[in-house]
Amino acid sequence: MGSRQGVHSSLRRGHGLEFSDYRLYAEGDDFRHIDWGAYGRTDRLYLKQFREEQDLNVIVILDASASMGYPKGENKFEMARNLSLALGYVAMTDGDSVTFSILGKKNSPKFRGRGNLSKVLRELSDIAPDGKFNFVQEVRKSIINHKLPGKCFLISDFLFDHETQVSAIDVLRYRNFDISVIQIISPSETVLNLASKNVLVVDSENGQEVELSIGQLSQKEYSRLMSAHIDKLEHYCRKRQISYVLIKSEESLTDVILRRFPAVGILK
Amino acid sequence: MTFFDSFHLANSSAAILLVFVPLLILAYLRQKRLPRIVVSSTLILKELTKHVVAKRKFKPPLRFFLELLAMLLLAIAAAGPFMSSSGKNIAIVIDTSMSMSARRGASNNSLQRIDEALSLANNFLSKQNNSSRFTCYSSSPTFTQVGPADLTSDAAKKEIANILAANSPDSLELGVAELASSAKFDSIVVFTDKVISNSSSGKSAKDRPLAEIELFSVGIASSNVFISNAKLELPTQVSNKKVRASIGLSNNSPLEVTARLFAQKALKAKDKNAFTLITEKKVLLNPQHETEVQFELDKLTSESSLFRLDIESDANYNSIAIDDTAWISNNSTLRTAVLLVSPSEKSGDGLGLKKIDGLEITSVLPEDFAKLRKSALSDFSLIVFHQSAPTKTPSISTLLVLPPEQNSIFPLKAEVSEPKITSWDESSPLTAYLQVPLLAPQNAVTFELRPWMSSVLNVESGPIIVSGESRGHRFAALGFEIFPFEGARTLAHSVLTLNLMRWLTNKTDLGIGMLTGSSIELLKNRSWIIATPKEEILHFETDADKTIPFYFGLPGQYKITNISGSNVDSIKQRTEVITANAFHANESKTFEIANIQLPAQLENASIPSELQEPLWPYLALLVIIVLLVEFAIRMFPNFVNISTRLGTGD
Repeated sequence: MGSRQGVHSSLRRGHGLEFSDYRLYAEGDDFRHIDWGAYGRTDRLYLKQFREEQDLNVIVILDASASMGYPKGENKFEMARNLSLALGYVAMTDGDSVTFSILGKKNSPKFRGRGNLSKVLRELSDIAPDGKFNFVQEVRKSIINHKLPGKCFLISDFLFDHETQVSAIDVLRYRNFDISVIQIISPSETVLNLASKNVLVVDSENGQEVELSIGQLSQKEYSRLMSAHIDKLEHYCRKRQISYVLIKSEESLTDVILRRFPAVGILK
Repeated sequence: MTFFDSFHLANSSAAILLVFVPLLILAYLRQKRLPRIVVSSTLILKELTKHVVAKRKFKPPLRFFLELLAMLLLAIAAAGPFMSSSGKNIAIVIDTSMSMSARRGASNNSLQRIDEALSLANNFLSKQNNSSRFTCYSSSPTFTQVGPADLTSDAAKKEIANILAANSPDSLELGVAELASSAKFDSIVVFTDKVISNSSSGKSAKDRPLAEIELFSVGIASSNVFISNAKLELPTQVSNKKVRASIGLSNNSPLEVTARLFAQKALKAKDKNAFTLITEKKVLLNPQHETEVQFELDKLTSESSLFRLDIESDANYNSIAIDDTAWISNNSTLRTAVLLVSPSEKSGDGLGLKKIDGLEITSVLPEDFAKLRKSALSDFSLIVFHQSAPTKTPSISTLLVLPPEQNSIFPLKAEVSEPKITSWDESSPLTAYLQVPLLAPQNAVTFELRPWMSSVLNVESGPIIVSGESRGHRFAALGFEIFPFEGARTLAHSVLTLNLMRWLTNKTDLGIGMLTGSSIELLKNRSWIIATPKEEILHFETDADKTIPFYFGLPGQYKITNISGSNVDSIKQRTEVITANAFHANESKTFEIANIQLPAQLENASIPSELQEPLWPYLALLVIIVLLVEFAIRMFPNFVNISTRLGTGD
């Protein structure tokens, strides 16, 4: 929903062209919208309500923390950026205004129309994933300038604790955004397949070190834990009718846009 | 006593070295750097480490354990570990004198006293503490250590297993006294057929321990027949050469024996060692005294070079066999070379000394003696200075008879006319068998006594016979004339002369031969070839520095040849034939149990010493081995294919 009339049905009821519903006439209502046919049938005065068709306020929130850049060479952030661009392009083409919020870095201005695509490209091209920040606060910051709810695409690997995931999504929910959660994982993050059996792993964001001795059992357990982590997020989203999709960084962008997203209702 | 009771550390503070153990562990922990991998998030991995399978364990390589082991061993070695025990240092003394060869019974298979002693010693050793240490000794012919010192009981048993009785008396008392005074031993255990004579406590002397000296007596009183003496007497005006022998009986009743005389006859070349029976006679022996027998030889027989006298008796009354045979050599004594320095030796008979069998007299004038080289004197066993004296003390046994006033060895005190003999030393070998008053010199000179001298015969104003030992040589001086030697005509003088010759030359008996157990010194710078009674040929080489003693272990005939000279022109060869006999009456009297005196206690006897066996050498050796293995693993890791996966949990 936007402040202008666009192609998307707004949930706000107004005087648009599409009949939406009846309500009882109350003193002060516009009598021109009284449905005399309904009066004749019911001896009661009803007003017609119409959906107001307005343009959609789209926010693409892109996680650009350091974790998005690992594992190196698996293009997790590249997939996230490309999806952000794709989603932005669709929205802009539909006449919607799109804002790109790069968490931890910046919020872009609003872009509208196909002609601003190159500006969008420039906006997103020189971003590299690094640094560490408070995810919830950054999400909050990203929508601070958005008075009206709209569509929000939250793109991250979500490799942080579930409470933070929930808190971040709730920030958007409480502002009545239509949320789509896009989780991007690299293939090597789903299985424990490190270079050496005895390793010292270091967190890309907080630098925490963990010594590991990896064997078959630990690999199985890792896969189970990762699946559980992902399932927990998905379950939370589904329960709250939030669109959720898990994308592997190796997948084809085209396949994701044309098949995966529509399958989960992110794009029609 | 368990291992831990005996294990001690001399320097437990060295355990501080164990502080290096954690340092070694830390070094290995740091050394083994894990590959670092940066991941997007450790959220899931941290969850994973809560499970044991993912947690990394400290899995050090084998080398770590080897180095740890080496470090621990070094720390323990530095702490001076030792095993201690309450064991003792014990001397085992086996009496091997001739009497120990006495048998219990008539058969040759019956036990000798030495067998009983060794059996007792084995039994004693078997009962000893495993930590005690033993040193074994035998007493005859000399008191000698048998095998190494500080043996275990099993090793000591092996050392004494081959001990045999010798054919000679022993120096058991002196040897034990020396051990007692050495303060080396906690106790001395003696196995002998003798008993202790100093039983002042009134108890039985047999087996009574004396402080730390323990004595085990073996053997029973057994009858024995023995020859105590045998010699060839020179012909006289009324008789031919004779073999005269003394035969003893150690028993409590008379016994008849058969004496057989054999002569060595060289009938044919191959029979040169054959003995032919000349005569035999029955002899009734009396236990109260020795019985003399004599065999007169005919002219032909008296030309034999060697005679053998055998006594045959009932085996039940003869516990020792070796003293039943006597060997008598005809002109076969080892001649003692004597240098006679006298201004009055003009007759060429060496002042009568040439009449004494076994002496080879070389006479020189005093002025000629001064010209002799020192090396020329080494051929002589004795120098006799008659009315003369050397300018400095010789390094050979020396007799001075009426030395001049200015002499460096025995300074004179005063001249005495018609001296009266006031006293003499009865225990001196010079006065043995001597009727001293018969000496009665007309004139004499007395001597000033030096610290190393002792007086033998005294007159009112001082000693006229003195003797002493200095620097291993014997010296004697007479202040009156005893020469010329006239044998029985001047008996006292002759006996004194023979005593002097015997004592100064250290010969047991001149003209008779050697006794088993005695020895001669093989002179310097010579080659020696000795044929023994067992027909063994022994070779000795003496060098310029020292002589070698040769012991006559067996009775019988020895042929001794010495070769001297450094080049073809100066080579000299001399052969002597000596007989050795087991004439040891005290050892042969096996019916009587001999007494010995032992020290009352060990000098400086202390509480049993705690034997300590240091362990650090073994630990040091282990450390070297461990480090060698560690080095091998380090250098050849592929060859030593050892898995480092320890307790993976997979």
